[in-house]
Amino acid sequence: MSVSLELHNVSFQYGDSLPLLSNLSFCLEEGEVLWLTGAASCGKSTLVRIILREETPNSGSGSVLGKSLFGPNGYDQRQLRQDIGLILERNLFLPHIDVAGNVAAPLLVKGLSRRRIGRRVKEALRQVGLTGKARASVSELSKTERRLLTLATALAKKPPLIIADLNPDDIDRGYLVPRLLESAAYGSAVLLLAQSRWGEGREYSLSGGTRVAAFV
Amino acid sequence: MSPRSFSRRSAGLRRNLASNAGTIFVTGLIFLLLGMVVLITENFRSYNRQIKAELEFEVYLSDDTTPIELYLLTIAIRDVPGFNALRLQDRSEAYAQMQELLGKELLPNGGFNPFPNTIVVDFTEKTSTLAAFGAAAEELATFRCIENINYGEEWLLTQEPLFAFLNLCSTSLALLVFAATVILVFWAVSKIVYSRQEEIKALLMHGAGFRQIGIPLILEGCALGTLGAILGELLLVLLWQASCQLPLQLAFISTTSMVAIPLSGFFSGITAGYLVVTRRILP
Repeated sequence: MSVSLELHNVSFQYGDSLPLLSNLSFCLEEGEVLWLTGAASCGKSTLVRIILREETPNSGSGSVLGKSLFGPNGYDQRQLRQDIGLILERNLFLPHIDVAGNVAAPLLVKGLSRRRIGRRVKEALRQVGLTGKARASVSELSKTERRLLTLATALAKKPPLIIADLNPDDIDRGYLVPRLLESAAYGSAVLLLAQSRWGEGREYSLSGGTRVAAFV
Repeated sequence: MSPRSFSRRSAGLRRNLASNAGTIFVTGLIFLLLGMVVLITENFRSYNRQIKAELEFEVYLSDDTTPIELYLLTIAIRDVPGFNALRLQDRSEAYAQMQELLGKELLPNGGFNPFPNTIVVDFTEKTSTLAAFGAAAEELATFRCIENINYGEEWLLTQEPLFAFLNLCSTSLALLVFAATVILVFWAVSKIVYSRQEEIKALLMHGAGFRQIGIPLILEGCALGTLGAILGELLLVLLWQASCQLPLQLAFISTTSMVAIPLSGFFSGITAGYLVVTRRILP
C-alpha cells in the first residue's frame, strides 16, 4: 500500500505564542481512515492549512501523494488542491451556479473533458443523494443538502486523498462520515479532523490543553 | 449541462448589472472629459498651426540695393534653416495693397510711397518659432542692403509661452484623466471581487488559478473600460453637435483620437483588472 499523506516531526506556532503543534508525526496509507481528534482550537484546522501549504511549519517534513510538501520544490499549492478532496468546516460554493455546476467546477479547473465531467457529476450527486437537486440553486438547498454538496464536490474528483475538517454537528456525523468511510473502501485515504471519533479507523488525539500533539 | 453555464456565468457582466452600468456611466463621463480635452487640444493645435502658417518673416530692403546684393541675399536666405519659400514684394505692390486697405484718400494715386521693397520669407511650420526667426535675423544682419527685419517679435514673445503652457496643460489633463480611469476601473473591479469573494474563495479552494479567476476579471475590467470609453465618445459626439449650433466652429477630433480613446479605455481596463488580480487575489 502506498503512502498518501505523511508528516514527520512537524511543529508549528503563531509568532511567539505557545506551540500549537509539536513534533507531529503520522502516516496515512491508501484506503485507510485516520481520525485526528481534539477539542476546539487545538490545531486541527491549522494542520489542514499546513497540509494545504497555507502555513509553513517551523520544523518538520512531509509528503502528499508521494510529493514533498514543504520547501521551495514542494507540491504546487494549486495542483495540490486539484489533486485532493477537501471538505472544510465552512461550505464554499459558487452561489450563482446550480448544484451540478458547483460539482463540475473543480473538475473544470482540473481540465477534464466535458463528457467525463458530466459522468462524474451524475455519479457524485447519486453518491450523496442529490440527483433530484442537480438543477436547483444553492440557495434552495437545506443545511444538510449544502453539506452534502460540499461532499459531492470533493468526491467528484475521485481523489486518492480526502481531508475533511468536520463540524461538531449531527449533519457531518450522520451524513458525511458514513459516505467518507465508504470512499475509503474504494481506495481513497481519508483524514478526518473532528472533536471526537464517530466511526471506524485509526485515531490520534491532540492534547488540547497544552496544545501539544502526542503522536507516535 | 453545467460546465457551459459555469464558464459563461463566471465570466459574466450579467451579474452586478446595475453596479457595472453605473461604473460604465462614470467611466463614460471621465472619457467624455478626456474627449473634450482632446477636442480642445486638437482645435487649439490646429489654430496654432494656422497662425504659424500665416507668420511671415519680412526683410525690408534699402532703396539702393543692387541686383547682385539682392541675388546674394536670396542665396543666403535660402540657406537659413527651416526655409520654405520666398517672394519679392515690390514697393509699388505694397503701396497698392495698403491703398486697398486704407483707401485712396489716405494713399492717393501717385502719392509718396513710404514702403520699401520687401522679401517675404516663409518658414516651415515647425521652424516658425521665435528662436528660429531670431537666429535667421542675426545671420542676415551682416547684409548692407537690409534696412530692417520684421517677424512680429513682440507678438511671438507673448504668444509662444502661452502656447507652450496650454500644450502642457492639455497633456497633463489627458494623463490625469487616464490615471483617473485606471483608478475608477480598479475600484469597480475591486468591488466586483468583493461581491464575489465567496465564489473566488471556492474557486481558489478547487485550485483555480490565473486562467480561471484572473482572466475573467481582467476581461471584465477591460469591458468596463472600453464600454465606458465608447460611451464617453458618443457623449462627445452629442456635445460637439450641440456646439455646432454656437458660433464656435470647432472641428471634431481626428480619426486617430477616435480610435485612441476606446483603446485607452481598453488598456486602462486591462491595467486595472491586472492590478486587482495580482494585488488582491493572486499575489
